[in-house]
Amino acid sequence: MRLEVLEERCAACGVCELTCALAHFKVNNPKKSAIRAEMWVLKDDVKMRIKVCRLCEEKPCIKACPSGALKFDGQRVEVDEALCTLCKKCAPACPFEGIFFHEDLRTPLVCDLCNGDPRCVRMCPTGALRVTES
Amino acid sequence: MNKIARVNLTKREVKVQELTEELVLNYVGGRGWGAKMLWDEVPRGVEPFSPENKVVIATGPLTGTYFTGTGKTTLCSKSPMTGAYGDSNVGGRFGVELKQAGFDALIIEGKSDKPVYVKVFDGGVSIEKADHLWGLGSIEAEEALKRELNDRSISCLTIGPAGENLVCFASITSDFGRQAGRTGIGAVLGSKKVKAVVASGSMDIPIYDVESMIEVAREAYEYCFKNEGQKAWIRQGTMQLILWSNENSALPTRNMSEAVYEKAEMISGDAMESRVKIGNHGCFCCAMPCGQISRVKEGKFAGTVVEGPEYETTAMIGSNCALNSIEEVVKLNRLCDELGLDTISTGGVVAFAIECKRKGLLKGIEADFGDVDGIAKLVEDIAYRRGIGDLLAHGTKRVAEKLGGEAVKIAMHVKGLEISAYESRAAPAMALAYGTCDIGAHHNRAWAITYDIKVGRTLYTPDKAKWVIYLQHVRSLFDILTCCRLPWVELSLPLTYYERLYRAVTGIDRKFDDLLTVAERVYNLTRCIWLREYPHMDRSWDYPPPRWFEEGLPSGPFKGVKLDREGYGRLLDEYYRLRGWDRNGRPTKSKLRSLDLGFVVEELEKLGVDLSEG
Repeated sequence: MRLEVLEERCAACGVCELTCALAHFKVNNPKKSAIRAEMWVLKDDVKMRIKVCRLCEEKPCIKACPSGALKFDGQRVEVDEALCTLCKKCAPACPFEGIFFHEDLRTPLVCDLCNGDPRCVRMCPTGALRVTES
Repeated sequence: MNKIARVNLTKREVKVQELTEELVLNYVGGRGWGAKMLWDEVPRGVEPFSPENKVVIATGPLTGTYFTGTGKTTLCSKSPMTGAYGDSNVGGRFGVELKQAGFDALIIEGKSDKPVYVKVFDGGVSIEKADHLWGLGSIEAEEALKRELNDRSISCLTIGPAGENLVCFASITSDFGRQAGRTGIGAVLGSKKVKAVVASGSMDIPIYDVESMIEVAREAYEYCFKNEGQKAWIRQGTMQLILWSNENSALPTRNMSEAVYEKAEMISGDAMESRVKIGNHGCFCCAMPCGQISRVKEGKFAGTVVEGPEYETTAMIGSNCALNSIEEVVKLNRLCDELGLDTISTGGVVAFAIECKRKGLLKGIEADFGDVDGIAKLVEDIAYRRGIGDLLAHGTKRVAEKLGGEAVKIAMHVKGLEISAYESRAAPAMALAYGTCDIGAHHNRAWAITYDIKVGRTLYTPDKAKWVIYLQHVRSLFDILTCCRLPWVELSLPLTYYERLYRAVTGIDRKFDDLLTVAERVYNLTRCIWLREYPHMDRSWDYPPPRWFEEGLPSGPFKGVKLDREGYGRLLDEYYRLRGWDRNGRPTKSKLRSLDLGFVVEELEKLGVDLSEG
């Protein structure tokens, strides 16, 4: 299972962000989420971008990690806290910009699909998030 | 949390203060704090553009929490349009970032001699140089700030050239497409040389009972998602109202000389959806994102993008100025946003100027009804104070006073603020709403026209006064809590949700009625701010313009109907009676004391303002 993103439906409202943060950390803080919905204002256009792990084939984040802290367990990319040095090399490697950091957290945030029932998908008001079986 | 940052531009210093228990419990947040702070700190006689005026930027207990529509912020100041209490609400994300940075409110006071922007970050506030931003459009400035701070997640409040040039109805842009439009607070910031206020916060917002908040929110989101109206709301937002308003003979047309527009279909929600719509934008956490993103696809305005249009913009700049197409509306919308002009007041002022020109009352206007290029040029002239734009920048009331005679009859304002987009000759409750709104004529306090439509368009029965008061309390409560009232207004989300959310977030057990008392307190306080400023204020100030009483509607289903002066007077009497105000609309001493506003009684007495005992 992986997340499918329909950016043309996204309204960058941030319900997904706060839902994720509350589901994982029980804190009211959209910056502690593994998903971001951003509005990009261009000269003659406006585009929404959803930044979240898509469980791509290549997983360059895992390759970029110098200490082997990132692993794919068959369902999601997980971070081994014992091995992570917070070098932050994983984030720029991600083509979907789906890895995030927060001052309060010891390890990067990567979507874990809520162990099979992604909350953000349920809560998106415009249907911009879906799951597909890979 | 529970902190206010006081930014003194004259001394270039920032002081952090604790929120008092009185502010938290008696005034709760948003415009409650704004009204109290303006009462305490901005006395009678302070000029709106002087360093002694202040801008309060306030969140409330619900801002930024997990619930539909908590991305709201209220700004309060002494308005350059009216010289008295003014406020404006803005959606988007600013208040959320402010809270996440650790501040519940900002007070901006004094004046900088050079352009600056105020920067709010985790635990701190700084004053930064903005010389390089001065002169930019409000949206240009926001994009420039995101680039130079290398952070797209910041939320901004920016002014455009109109605010810099002290146009009395200058607005403030936020997050590209939301505006704090009314009462000219953009010009107050301009007078202080504040180009922008920027906020970025990464801290947790403390919640008393997270599990309960999540439970209440889930129920509310589910309610909204299942509601039939939610889809329509996302599809067209407030633009659904254009055809409805036209059918109900309420669509401002040609300076409200008419209430039915022959080209309504060309500027309708359907026209927007089929011709220009490219997406949606939602305010923080919204279950029914209603911001429309529009882009003109072809023709002379091809490539113009705007978040909008909204009903108000389309009516006031569109039908009220007789524009011809949705593309023309998009063009003028983007122009006003970039220049930093309130589309409601701008539409009102431009339409008034054109009608005056046509009647030979005003020279120097080249624009005409339906003349998009002429209107666009006039709008720019206003923003840059060029030619006749310099005079028009003062707003309809002052221009009308200067011209005198016939001009006063067709000046569509109350107390100096242009009437928003509901032609109300055949809507006495809505007319009363405009007459008694506490910032001048605006529909945000009481959108009463649906009641007129429901019970009778030409009735002046006392229940209408009661309904207007109820709306003024419930609707303004949202500007105190700060969250969006549209889920309740449009999808009938039960108000009990807010009571439960308030308890989950703050730990305070309060019935909704108790929160309504807070709204009533604030409504009386803002009334007293007006009275303090204008001790001679009397019931005539609470009347809509002569046009509505003297000219029957020229066409449409209510042809010939005008407001009945005697009926309106009775409605106003009933309104005052129900509010506990005297026959001239002055709160009585006993009413004020019953609302814990005894200190207001004392100060007004010291200033020689007569109040009856009640």
